[in-house]
Amino acid sequence: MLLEDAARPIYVVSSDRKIAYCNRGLAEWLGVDAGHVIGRRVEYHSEPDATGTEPLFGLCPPPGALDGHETKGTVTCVQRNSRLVHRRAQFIPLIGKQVRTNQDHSAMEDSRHACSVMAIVETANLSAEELTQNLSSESPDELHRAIRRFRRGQSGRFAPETLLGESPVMQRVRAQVECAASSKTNVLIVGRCGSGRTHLAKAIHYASDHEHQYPLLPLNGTVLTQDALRRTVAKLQQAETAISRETLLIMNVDQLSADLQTQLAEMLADKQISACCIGTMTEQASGDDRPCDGQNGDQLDPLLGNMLSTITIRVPRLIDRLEDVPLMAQFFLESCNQGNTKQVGGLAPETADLLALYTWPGEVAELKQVIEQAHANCPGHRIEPKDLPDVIHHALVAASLTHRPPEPVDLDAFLQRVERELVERAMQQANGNKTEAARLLGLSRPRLYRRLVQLGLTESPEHQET
Amino acid sequence: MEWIVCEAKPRWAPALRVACIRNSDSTRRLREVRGLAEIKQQLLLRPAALLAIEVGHANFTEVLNWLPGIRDSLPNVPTAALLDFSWVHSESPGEMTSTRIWLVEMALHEAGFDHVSTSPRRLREVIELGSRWAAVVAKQQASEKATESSLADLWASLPWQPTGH
Repeated sequence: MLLEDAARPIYVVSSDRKIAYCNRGLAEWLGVDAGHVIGRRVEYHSEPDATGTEPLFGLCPPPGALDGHETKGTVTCVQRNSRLVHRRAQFIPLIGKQVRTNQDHSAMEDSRHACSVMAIVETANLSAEELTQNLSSESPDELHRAIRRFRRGQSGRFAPETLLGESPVMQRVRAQVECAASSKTNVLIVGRCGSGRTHLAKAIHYASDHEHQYPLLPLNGTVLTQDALRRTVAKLQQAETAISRETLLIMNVDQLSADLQTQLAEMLADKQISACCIGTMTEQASGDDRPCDGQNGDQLDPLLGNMLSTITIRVPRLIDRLEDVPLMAQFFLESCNQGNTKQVGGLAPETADLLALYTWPGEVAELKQVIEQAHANCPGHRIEPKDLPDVIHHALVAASLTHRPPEPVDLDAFLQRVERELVERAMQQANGNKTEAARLLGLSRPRLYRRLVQLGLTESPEHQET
Repeated sequence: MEWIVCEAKPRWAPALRVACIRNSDSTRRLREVRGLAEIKQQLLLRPAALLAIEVGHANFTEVLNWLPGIRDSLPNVPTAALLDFSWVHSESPGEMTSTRIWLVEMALHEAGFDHVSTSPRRLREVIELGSRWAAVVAKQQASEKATESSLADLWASLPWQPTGH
């Protein structure tokens, strides 16, 4: 009753950052019913979106309070009239600090344990000056704000709208991305190098995390070691007490060693990793022997494949959706214009025609590179065919030429060359001693002698007699 | 194989040199730069290099926003963040250091760092990252050479290679 009737807004945040209790004072300050507030999650203490209507955005206690330390800080809310209001608050942990130390014995590796926190908010709003002073003296807020701003920026960079293309295959990919983002299940993304697999994976993560609160942890399969995987899983487990919506992104999962793939599959099967997992792997085109990511032709462990492929997204090849090329080219061109004194408006129709004739073996990454080079070469306001890099012109000229039939190989002559070379080297190695050379080649001496005669490396006995 | 080490003052580079020698990896060359602006230029000249960047209070936000751009153009370059531990430790009297390190590490990984090191005394993982990358590059170069001339490769695989030609 005392709390309920208190003039100061008071609320209790549980360890999973949900409002467990709020008094009348808080409901009045927020301008909503208490029932509307209880059970709602509060997000990390940071400035709220001024256009948003979420009143609980700035009510999250500082991490130190959730870790068991009594702290002072600032809380923020957007009132019904869309006004942003800040007040000072005191955060009192309701359960004692729990510290678990892991094997590394290091103070900085204390595991994270959250506890419930009671927040007592002052009745007076902070003025702009007071707010500036208050924030500058609160470094934790500064760090959280920087991280939140970064995540918001990333979320814009990898927004679903950046998955460009109106072709049916791209529409299907976008639908799959939406499905993966809403379901938060494991996803396997298969595509060729440069097709934008990582972009797609990040788009899924940021689309599923609308408040940009949860971390994305990318691992590069090309350079990942067992130790690094173990450390990463430990970090994810550290987070699980408070939040469990992180995404583990394993790039080039097929490039992991067989041992690591087995280890990862077991971790997923044993639920040691509770985060949502997204894996990307390379789709090898038939007859394509281009090296990719440093290693080539590696296989995906079937168990790991099963664990990851709840949803499988195949990134279409650019050549299968050439109708999307002009739109993507324009997008990359505008990216080049951004922050550049040189402004190029678009592509000449002849340039667009040339781009549609090219086969794009390097996929979207190659298109981006081509447009960047063309932007640099372009002296005017429109990219003309001459501004395109030579590789496009050469490829188109080569494609227009009739194919030469493959040259036949004379197998006997080729093998004789190899044999001759080996016999000569063996003779050289044995300093002309035929018995030793025959031993090196695994032949009997008479047989080597016949070979030498046949290959014209020594004279026949008849010749020698004459 | 080269390291590009970006830090305001030479603190990590000497430690990295010592760590390379301790791990019998004296073939690594370290190229020190003092700002992010210099790195891109260096990377264009040495696309197979490894990147190590000191991250502290002064450049945390800048690095977070800068690295994803580099990752776009050079997605596979291994990068290590060298975390200024005093920054994380000193500015959070009311907050557990482990929490702040966890938050900072997660954000740095999200920006594209493969590894975050918190002390010049703990560089073993950074060296391992370098070794693994060196193996990848070597394999890639071997594969490129093989496609250049399969006949030359066959010839080279024959025993008793001639010497002194």
